[in-house]
Amino acid sequence: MTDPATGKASADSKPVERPVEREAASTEVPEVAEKVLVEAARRGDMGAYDALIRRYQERIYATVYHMTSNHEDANDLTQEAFIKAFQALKSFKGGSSFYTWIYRIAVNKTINFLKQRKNHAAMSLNDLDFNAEHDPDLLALISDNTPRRDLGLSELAEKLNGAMQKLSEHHRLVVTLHDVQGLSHEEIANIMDCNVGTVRSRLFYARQQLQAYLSDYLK
Amino acid sequence: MNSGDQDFEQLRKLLKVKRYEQPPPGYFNRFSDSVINRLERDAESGRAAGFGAGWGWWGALRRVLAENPISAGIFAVCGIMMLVVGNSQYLDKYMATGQIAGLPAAPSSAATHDMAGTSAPHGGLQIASAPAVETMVSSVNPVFMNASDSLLSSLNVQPVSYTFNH
Repeated sequence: MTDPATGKASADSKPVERPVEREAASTEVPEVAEKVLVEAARRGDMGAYDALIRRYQERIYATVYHMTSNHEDANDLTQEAFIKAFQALKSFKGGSSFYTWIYRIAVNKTINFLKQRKNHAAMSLNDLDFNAEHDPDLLALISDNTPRRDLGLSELAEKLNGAMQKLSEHHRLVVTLHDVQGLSHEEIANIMDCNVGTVRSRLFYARQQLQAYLSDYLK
Repeated sequence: MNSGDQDFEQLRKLLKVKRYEQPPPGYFNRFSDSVINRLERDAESGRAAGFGAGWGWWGALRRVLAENPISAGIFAVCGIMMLVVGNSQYLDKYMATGQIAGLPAAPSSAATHDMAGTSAPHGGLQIASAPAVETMVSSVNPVFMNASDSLLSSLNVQPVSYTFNH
């Protein structure tokens, strides 16, 4: 299981077994470890690439999932992103981190996919994690004396996803990366290959739109 | 948190719901294995298919074409144009010599004339055959059909005029 806020793997993830990964895990500077893994993967070490996948799979999956609102699509696109990244690893110059690079690949794939899927969007939402019921902010949202009183968390999530799907791909992406995944404006600008001002204005517009769509569920 | 965030505080709390949407249990334990297996399968099939199917330029070209429909379209148009240009040169050569290299010579004009005219079975329709082409013909030296060569010429059509008597 994962920490929903950071998307990082917790203790029950599959143990690390391969030599390069062990070597990288033991080092204390994660940036160096990433470079070591990338270099090894570039030489064809699948163990190193396995470690890179495990490191970023949850964050990449979460981004793609929140963009598509569909587990099967998110699974396919995340797999394809990692496969494409491996095939293009030789052309990876290291100008940005592998993390930004793989994000960029996944985001571009997802946006292309969504443009093709435009007219037949289908949602198959993932189940809410058990811990959601204990989140004080969410409890407050479904508390008494609000218009959402009769809504359960699952229904609220469904309404929210419906509203998210009404946003354009770029606006949805900014909200996902910033408000759901907690990335900074600068990181988002790197991933989307645009400037920070653009990220800020897209975020503002997207939030305005969401607020209008969800006005019945917000105080 | 800046003022922009404060304006959307409720919305940001609502968006936290999305953090709790999780894939089926154990999904991430299997995920990297699926990717590695697919990569190894691709590499295997590439090796099995020999030259051109794996990670070489042909494999790269196929991936680019598969992922980018515009490139695929341009590639197809170029292929068709090359085919057309190649064939037009080939046809010009054929029209000039009347013969395709490696094939038996085309039937002579006399034989063609005979088949079309005198030897028609059951005395059927006598088709006025085209005279033997003596001059060199090609796409840049077109052949125009004479009025006397057409089927209508054998019907002996006369101009007719009508007058009305009151």
